[in-house]
Amino acid sequence: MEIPYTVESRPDTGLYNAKMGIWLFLASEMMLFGAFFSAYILLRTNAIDWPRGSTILNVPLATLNTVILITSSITMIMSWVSLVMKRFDRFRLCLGMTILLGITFLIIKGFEYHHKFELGLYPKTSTFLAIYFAMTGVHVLHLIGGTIVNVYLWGPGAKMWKSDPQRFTNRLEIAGLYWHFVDLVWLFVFPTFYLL
Amino acid sequence: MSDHSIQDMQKQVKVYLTIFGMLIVLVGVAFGISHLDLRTPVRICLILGIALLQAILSTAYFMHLNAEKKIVYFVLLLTAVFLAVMVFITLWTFHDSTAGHVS
Repeated sequence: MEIPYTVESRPDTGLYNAKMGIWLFLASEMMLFGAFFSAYILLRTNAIDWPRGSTILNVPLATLNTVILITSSITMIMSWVSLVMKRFDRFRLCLGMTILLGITFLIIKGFEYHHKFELGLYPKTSTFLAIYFAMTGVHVLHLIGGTIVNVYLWGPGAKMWKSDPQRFTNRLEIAGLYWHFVDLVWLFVFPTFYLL
Repeated sequence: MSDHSIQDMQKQVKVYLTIFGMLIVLVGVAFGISHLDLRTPVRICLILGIALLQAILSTAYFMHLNAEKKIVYFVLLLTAVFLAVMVFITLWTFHDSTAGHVS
C-alpha cells in the first residue's frame, strides 16, 4: 500500500503529511526545551548566588560555535534550494558542508566539556553547571540526531532523487526544518549560559 | 515546491544570505553588549531581546513561517499557550511552597 500525501498536500491541512508531522514534533520539542528553560529560570531566580557564564565557560569558543551553527543553517537551506533548482551536485556540496559544520560544532563542544572535566567541573559541582550540562547535553544529542539524518540524506537516502525527486526534496525540507529548530534552540542557550 | 520558479528561488537566495548576514552581526552585537558594564536587568533584556530577534528572523525566513499554512500557526499558538501555562505553574508552585533558596 502506498503512503498517501508524501508529495501532494492533504485537502484538510494544506500540507503534505511529513510537513504536518514535523511541525507537531517541533511543537513537542518546544515543550521539552521550554521545560528546561523554565527550570533554569526557577533555579536562577531562587539562587543566592549565580555566576556569570564568562567566569566559568569559554565564551569565544561558544561564539565561534554559534557562528558555525548559523552558517550550517544557510548551507542547509542552500541544499534545499539546490534541489528545487534541480542542481543535485550543488545539493551534495551544501548538505556535505552542513554535515561538516555540525561535526565541527560537536568537536568544539567536546573540547569544552573535556576542559571542564579536566578542571574538575562536573554537573554535581554546582547548580549552574548541572543545568548547563543538562541543557547543552540535550542540545548536543539533538544535533547528533540531525547529523545522522543529514548523513543518510547525503548518502544512501539520496537514491530517491532518481526515483522520486519531489518526495526527496520534501524529505530534505523536513530535515531542514528540524535542523533550523536545533540552531534556534542554540540561539537561546548561548546567551543564557555564556553571556548573561 | 514545484511552483517555485528559478527566478523566485534566485530572489529567495538573496533574502537568505541577507538574513544570514544579519544573524551573524547580531551574534557580534550580543557578544559586545555582554562586555559592557551594564546593570544585570538591562544586560539580560538587551541580550535576550537580540536572541528573540534572531529567533524571529530564523523562523520567518529559514523555516518559512512568514508564508505557512494556518494550521501550522494554530499548532504553534497552542504550543505557546501550553508552554506559558507550564512555566507559570512551575514558578507559581515554587513561590507557593515553603522551600527556601537553592545554591
